[in-house]
Amino acid sequence: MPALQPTSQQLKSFIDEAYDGPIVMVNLLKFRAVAAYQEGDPEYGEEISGAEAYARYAAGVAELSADPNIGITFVYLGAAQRFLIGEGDWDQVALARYPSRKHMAQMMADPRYQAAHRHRVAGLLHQDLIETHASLG
Amino acid sequence: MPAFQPTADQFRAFRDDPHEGAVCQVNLLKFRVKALYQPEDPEFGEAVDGRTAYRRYSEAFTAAAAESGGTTTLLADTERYFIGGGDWEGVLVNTFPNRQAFIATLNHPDYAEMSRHREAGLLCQELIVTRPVWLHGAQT
Repeated sequence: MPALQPTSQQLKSFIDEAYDGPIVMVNLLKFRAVAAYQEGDPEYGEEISGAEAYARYAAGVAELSADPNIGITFVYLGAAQRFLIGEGDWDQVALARYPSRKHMAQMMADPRYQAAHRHRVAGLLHQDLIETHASLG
Repeated sequence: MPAFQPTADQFRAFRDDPHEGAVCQVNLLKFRVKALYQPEDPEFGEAVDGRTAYRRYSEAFTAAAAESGGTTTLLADTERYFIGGGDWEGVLVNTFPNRQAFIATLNHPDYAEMSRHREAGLLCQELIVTRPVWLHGAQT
């Protein structure tokens, strides 16, 4: 069941996990048809799609990849075309690799990330976000 | 709603899509607790889990895909859901230069041989066909 944010339980279990190696976060994303910026956002009232708003968020996050304390790499980001097996309703899939969970937590606390986050809120309807440990990739 | 194979309509729609560029196949996987090999399989009766059996398939698939220019972008085990919730246990992402390269891998002479491991290990999955926007840290 998709959501917008981690529950406090999910956040706690992510932070408290002892494993400190690299993680790949698998984002399954569903966008709003029309972006919903909040009053107070410079973009309030702009008529763009949710996908376009989320792309601004992704671009903002991508800029942080140069910061070694964050170390995010977009392993992959792609637009869903169809389901070849099974059925569902995702618009995009994004794979983000971090050197460790501490790097991801560092990113979430970074003011540059928080500034970009309004685009995520405006564009995203909901998502699943799966923490994975990669044996390839 | 997960399944095990494409329907005939799903396969046709994929095959006949006029888009010519790269495709990235995102597999969301749920494994059997215990692998279920068939009596005619050499591995019949082996006490391995479904994940192990599927791994044998994915390694052979990666090798066959390479002959058509395909690469495995991610093979990973689920640790937890950080947002939302679900039941996927593994994620396999394979990138192909075009859809014909994916179809060529399914038609590879080794495919029938390797697919017994998929059938033994996999309970169900979804397979999302995507078009790359970013790959390996760069915009495509």
